Amino acid sequence: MSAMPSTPPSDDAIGADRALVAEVLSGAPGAFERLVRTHQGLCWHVIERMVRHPEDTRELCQEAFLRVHQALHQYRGDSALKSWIAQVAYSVAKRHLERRRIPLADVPEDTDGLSMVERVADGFDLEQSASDHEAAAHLHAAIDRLPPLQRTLLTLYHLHELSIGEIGSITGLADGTIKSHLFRSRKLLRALLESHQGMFAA
Amino acid sequence: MNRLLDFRLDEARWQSQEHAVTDAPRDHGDAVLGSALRTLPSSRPPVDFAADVARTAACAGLAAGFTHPGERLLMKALGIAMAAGLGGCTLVYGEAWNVAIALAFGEGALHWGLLGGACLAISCLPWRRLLAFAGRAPAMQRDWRDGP
Repeated sequence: MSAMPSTPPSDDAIGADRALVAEVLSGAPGAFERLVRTHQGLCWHVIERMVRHPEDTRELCQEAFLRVHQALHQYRGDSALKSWIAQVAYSVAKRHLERRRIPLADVPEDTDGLSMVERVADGFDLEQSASDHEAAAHLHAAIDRLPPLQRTLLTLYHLHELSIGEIGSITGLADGTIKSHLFRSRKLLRALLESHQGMFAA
Repeated sequence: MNRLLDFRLDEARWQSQEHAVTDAPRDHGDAVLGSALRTLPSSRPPVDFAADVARTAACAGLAAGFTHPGERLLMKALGIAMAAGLGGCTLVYGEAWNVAIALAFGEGALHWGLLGGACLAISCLPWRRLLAFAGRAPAMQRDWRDGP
């Protein structure tokens, strides 16, 4: 079974979300700042993973929260507030990439003939790695070279431990598509390790 | 992209990989990969980010003006009342204004003035916002269909 949590948000959590939203809508001092502070981490990571540019990340994250502020009256409390906000963040980042004509996901083979494996493995030399820590650092660099969607999905699933369903509600992708992207990305990363299996056998 | 979407993931293969990477790594490689995935480095928002966004949102809220439906209704009613008052005054005193303007600025000054006012209204009054909104509307609709 999946190791990731797939339980829906509890009634308490939804109740707390609704209470916070009601405070913001009633204009309670500091309520919106509290909302931003609570959810800025996830929003920031979604956008950062998508656009991979510090200045753009800050600007787009601010834009996402301003949209949240404008549309907060539309929040019905059917899902967790963090998913709702992450959905806005994903939408803002996706539109940014579309405007800049940056492909969201990659095809298995690039148009220039360079496969994703080769591109992601660029500079990936595990024989140079003396420890697991260094191997992990190389893997992190390889993940950073994945297409925006793949690295965002890996972040949401493994770092934020969101369930496939929650990721689906954020990205609008079908469960199978998300699993497919995760599967391919992990297989790719695992292949990078396998090519240097000798090192681990030592 | 199509090739990617056409990929039909076998649930058993998914579960096997899931188990290997997250639950119980079979070998050192799986353990390293699982650990690397769980410790993905990421930056944090600046410490003043939340306060900054809240300030910007407050300013944006003020700039947007009245947001409560009741306030908007009252503003509309006030606008209609003012327009009706202006129309009534023009009907009652219009002739006198025409004479006074003709005496002060010459024959035809009122007509040129009205023409200038109409140009101003078309170029920079609510029409522009309306046109801008109309041009932006499809993108906004698309965003919010994708979003919440």
